[in-house]
Amino acid sequence: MMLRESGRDVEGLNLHAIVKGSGTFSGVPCGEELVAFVEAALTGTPELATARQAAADALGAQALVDAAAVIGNFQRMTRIADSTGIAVDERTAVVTEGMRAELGLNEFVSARLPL
Amino acid sequence: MPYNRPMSHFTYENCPYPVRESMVEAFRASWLYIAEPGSWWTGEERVAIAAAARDAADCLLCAKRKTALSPAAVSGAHLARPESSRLSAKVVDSVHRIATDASRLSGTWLGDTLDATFTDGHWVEAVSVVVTIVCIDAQHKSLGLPLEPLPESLAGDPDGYRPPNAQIDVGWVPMLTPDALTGPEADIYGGSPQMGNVIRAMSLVPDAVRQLDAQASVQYLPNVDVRDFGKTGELSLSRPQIELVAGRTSALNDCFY
Repeated sequence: MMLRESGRDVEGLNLHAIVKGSGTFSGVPCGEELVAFVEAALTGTPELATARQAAADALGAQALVDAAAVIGNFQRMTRIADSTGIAVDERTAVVTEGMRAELGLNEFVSARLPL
Repeated sequence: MPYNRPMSHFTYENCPYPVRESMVEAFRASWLYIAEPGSWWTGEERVAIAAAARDAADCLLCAKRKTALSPAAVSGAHLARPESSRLSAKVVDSVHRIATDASRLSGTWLGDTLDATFTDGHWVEAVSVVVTIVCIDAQHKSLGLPLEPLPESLAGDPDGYRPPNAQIDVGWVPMLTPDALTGPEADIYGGSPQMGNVIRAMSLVPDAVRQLDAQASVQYLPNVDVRDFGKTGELSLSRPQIELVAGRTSALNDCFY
């Protein structure tokens, strides 16, 4: 939802890149490098160093640090959400209904909607 | 490395990347947060919880559970290095689950786990400590940087504070709505009349919300700015780039939220 709302001016924005990952064009500038960096960072693969360098080359060193920061932030937020059993906020549930169905998000093991 | 010398932490000497001073200060404050006694755990216990969260990354039992159809199908002992060995087996198991397999936690499991000595307050504070270290370690690992040595704990007893207006509503633990904020926790949502459930989820321990906001302010956005899609905080990425990283990270964690 946050990408959809913040990316209204992004031509060709493709939300499927969030779920499908590398190989799916997101439309976000330097999105391929960012997605590859996230995937390598979270899976701890040997490709991490290569993905990191590619992201740094595409975006610059400061942006690389910031991308790593966002990864860290959402390693936190996902654990808070899943450890406290919260449902998605009501207004978010309403405005994301179609998108959740299209992307298959309702199939996630932690899917919880407001009662 | 004693914590009474906080400048000795997060020096980023020989770091090949530029790390903002505001981020260094926030990370040092996070180490102090871990080291101090909280509402439900002593400083020694909180540092042990942080150590256990690090253990989980190398824990064979956690790795087996992660790939099992159900985490309950795999039994055994968790990796427990000396720094985390003072915790009970129940707390170690809880910390490892939060760190490595949170998307498969359930309200039933949590209800069976909590008791008179491991309360919902202990749980929320443990979650806060775990995610505090997980988010900094994740950033370091992503950049290929060494993990920061843990702080030394500070002496003192937990204060046992429980916000009087906290109630169960949208999750497994009691939490505060913005209109229920009073007294010592009146500030925790920054005056915003609305606050996301993921922030409210920590409000049974008000300092956990403050800690979350302080860290998010340097790693993402201040809590009050999250729904302003023109904001990028201190980050040098565009907001769509930020949200692409956020969304892909959440998806890989199987996190619906």
